Amino acid sequence: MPLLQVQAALARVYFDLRTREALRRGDRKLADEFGLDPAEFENVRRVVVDQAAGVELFARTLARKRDERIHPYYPMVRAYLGTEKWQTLLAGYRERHPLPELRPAVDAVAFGQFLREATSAADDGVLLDLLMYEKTKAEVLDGPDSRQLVADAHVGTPDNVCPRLVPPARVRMFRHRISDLLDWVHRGASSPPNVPEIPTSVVFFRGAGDAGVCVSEVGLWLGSVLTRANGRMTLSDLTASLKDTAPDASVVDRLSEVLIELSRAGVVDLDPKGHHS
Amino acid sequence: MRDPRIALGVGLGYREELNDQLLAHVGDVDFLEIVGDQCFELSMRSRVVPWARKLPTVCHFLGLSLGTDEPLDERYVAAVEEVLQVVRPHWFSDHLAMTRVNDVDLGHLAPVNFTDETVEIVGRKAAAVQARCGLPLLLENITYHFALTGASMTEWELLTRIVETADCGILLDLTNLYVNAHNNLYDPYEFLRSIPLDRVVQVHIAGTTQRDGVLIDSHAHPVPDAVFEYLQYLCRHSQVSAVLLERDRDMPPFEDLSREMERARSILRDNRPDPVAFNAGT
Repeated sequence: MPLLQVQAALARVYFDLRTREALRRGDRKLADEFGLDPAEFENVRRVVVDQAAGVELFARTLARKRDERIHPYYPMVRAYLGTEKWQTLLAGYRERHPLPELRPAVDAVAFGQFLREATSAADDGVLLDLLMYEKTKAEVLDGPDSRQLVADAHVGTPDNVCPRLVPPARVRMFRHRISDLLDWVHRGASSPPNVPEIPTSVVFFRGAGDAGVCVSEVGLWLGSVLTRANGRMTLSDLTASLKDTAPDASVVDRLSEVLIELSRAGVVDLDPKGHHS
Repeated sequence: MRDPRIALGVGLGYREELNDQLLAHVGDVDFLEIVGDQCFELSMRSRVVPWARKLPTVCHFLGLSLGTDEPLDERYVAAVEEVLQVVRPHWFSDHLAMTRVNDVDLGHLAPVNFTDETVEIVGRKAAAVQARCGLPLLLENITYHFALTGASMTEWELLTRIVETADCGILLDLTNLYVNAHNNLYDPYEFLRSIPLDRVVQVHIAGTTQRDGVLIDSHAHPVPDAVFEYLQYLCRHSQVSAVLLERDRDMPPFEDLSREMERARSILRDNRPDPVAFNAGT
């Protein structure tokens, strides 16, 4: 039996309290789950049983380190929730997802999803905005940066090319202006924010190289254009879908022209239909 | 082993929060140890590289996971190579540990089993990394609060056999030795007498704390006297090139760090062994 299976079993033991408890109870079904023969399973079980204090100490260290890797992705959510609630939610996340993702950003995104579900009942607009803002940044950070993209297909007609931002951007709608929420955090975030509700579109994209995540607030209409410019809708369909909501019809008439111009500058990729699907 | 022997003296682990103090006390530090993983980020690299031009440096990595029964992570090794080319350290190091398995990143150093199989796996992977990077690789002993079942040798036998198999050097963490000897009830001097001291190139020293009777390498407290005693023993019996003070949290005034470095420096200076032929090329 390869050592790798034993090591994978140990990794789960270190992270998962329920697995450790099951091993202490002598639950032999785990041997099949781990893919271990009886002797190897017994070796793993004995580590947990005979050296419980040391294993628990190590498990706490791993949990703390995992938490520390998630913390930097959610400074505003942490400030808003307060330490105690934040820690409780993190513990809940770890219980639900015992094994961390390989990359911290992916773990942070999964935690954000858990947090969204765990706090949805509260319908707290500020919390939801902060969470969406920081979770989206984590998603973009883990995505491809512009160096990995090849703008190879600037061909076709409005009916068969699909505009897509380069690098791929994410557009999110918020109830509040993010700049207001950021100001509140920078002021110390010590009390619930008194921030007016101003619906806002925010564009997130990965900067080139090591630039991290770039964030820009845009108007709602431009936000809707960028949302649709995701490589799935043809240029013709995009302009048609925007006609009713455009602030000025001439803007839509010029949209194709502008996007083609932007594609020459490498800001928008005009891919043949289905190229990215 | 390619001989990395050059007397670097006593240094400090580079931490961003020390940047200003380092500038003010640069004469107190003989060399810097840079955590290579931090240099994967270009922004951090740009802050670190000027230091590498100012002081001698060595690079310390966290994620090779040499103890895992998996092939080396090619992307990680490529990133290590890139950092080494930019920083140009005298040598680089990583741990005798498992840090990831099956796409799970433990985020910390997990102990390996003391078996022939571990010797084969770590020895093979360490030799491959060293050859590929073209610099001496040192392996560091870690702390462990439990031992895996089924060991067929001691910790020091494992370390010895691995560095001889890989033909690489040792980064001996004396604080980890102190912690392990206390927690696992063995004689630290038996450890020191048993490993090939001619392969010890660099030493780590750091502070500890105690929790429920268990010693922990805190990297946040003063270095215990016992660790300085081990250093004295080591310096009398081998040619240690570099002693590195590790401090990660609860940074004291820089003068306190300077005092600990000076204590190590005086041990290094006053306890030199008679020159011994180092086994270069063996």
